[in-house]
Amino acid sequence: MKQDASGRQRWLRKDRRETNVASPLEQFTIKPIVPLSIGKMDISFTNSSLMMTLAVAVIVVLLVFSVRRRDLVPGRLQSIAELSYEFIAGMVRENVGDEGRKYFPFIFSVFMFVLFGNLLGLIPGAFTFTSHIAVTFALALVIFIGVTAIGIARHGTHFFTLFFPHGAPLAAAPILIPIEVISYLSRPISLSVRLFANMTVGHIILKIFAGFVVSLGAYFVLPGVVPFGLLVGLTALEFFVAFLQAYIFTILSCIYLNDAVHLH
Amino acid sequence: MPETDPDKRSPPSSERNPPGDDDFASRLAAARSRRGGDSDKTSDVAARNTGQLGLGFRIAVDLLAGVMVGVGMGLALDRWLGTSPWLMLVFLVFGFAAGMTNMLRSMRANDAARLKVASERKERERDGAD
Repeated sequence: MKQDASGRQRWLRKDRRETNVASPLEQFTIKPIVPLSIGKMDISFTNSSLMMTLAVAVIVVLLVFSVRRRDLVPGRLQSIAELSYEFIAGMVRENVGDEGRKYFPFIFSVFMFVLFGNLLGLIPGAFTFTSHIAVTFALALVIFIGVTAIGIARHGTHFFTLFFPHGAPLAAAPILIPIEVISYLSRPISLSVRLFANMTVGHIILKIFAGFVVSLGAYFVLPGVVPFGLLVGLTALEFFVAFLQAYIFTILSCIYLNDAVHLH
Repeated sequence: MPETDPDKRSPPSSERNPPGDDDFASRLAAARSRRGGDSDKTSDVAARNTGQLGLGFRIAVDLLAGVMVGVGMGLALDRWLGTSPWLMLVFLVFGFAAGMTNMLRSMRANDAARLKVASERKERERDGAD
């Protein structure tokens, strides 16, 4: 009996050790670094804020340093700045046209912020602020409200013809207008959910496979190699997804801007 | 794109250049078309890399967002007018229709991008063969 109890205790201890492996969701917890509050509102400087500040700092330093020398034949750093500039300039030109030129600074900022949020999050141990719906939805909401304001400022009440397809019979209005309004209002949601879900899922998968490496490698060294190899491939895929999602987020902003500027 | 005349493919902005320095104009046109080539390449990469899984996910999000907004609007209107649950049900249907519209638009944009890339690639191959 006594032996049985100690056996169970040992089993429990072992179980506890095994479940001690970090949860794949732990990486998304927001931890306050400098606790602050106004009244009852919590405005602490968190790890999320830290990564956002870091992203902005990295972008500014990168862009300022890379154009310091301004060579005719760009070096490595200057190439990065020029490539990103031309990439977004081309995207704006292609999707919005010449009128889009004045919105370039905003689109470029959004692209760089999202891209560096995604990329800095791939540094082991770093926090990915684009994996939070609060962050991506706030970004999408700023774009949505800005684009709507631009549309109304440019076209006045004529902007609302966006909600009624051209040439449709007037009798269909009670059905078509709600559908178009809902479709328009769903834009910030699909924009933010797409980015947030992709980043969250990618990081969860990375963490789970990293857990496989540890648990398989700890007991039988050799099988740990298999998930490790997969992990290498997944990491490369995540780098690609980081770029792709920043690209999709930006190009959809351009498409929405184009709708507001040109009204189809 | 049924453009067969290779001269038409240069961007129209190059026509605005005054015909003073021929060498500079031709070099500028070359640089401009090179830049156009770059942006073609990026859209090419994007169209190829969205992949079937990524496309499926994107479209699913489009549908989901429409339904979510529809139900949200219906619930808000119900609370305001005290007609629970009828407006929610009506707006659920509207939301579903809006989600379908979103999906169709994404698919159409995707198809258009694919067709554009394919026709440009064909054109480039034909130009290369000439």
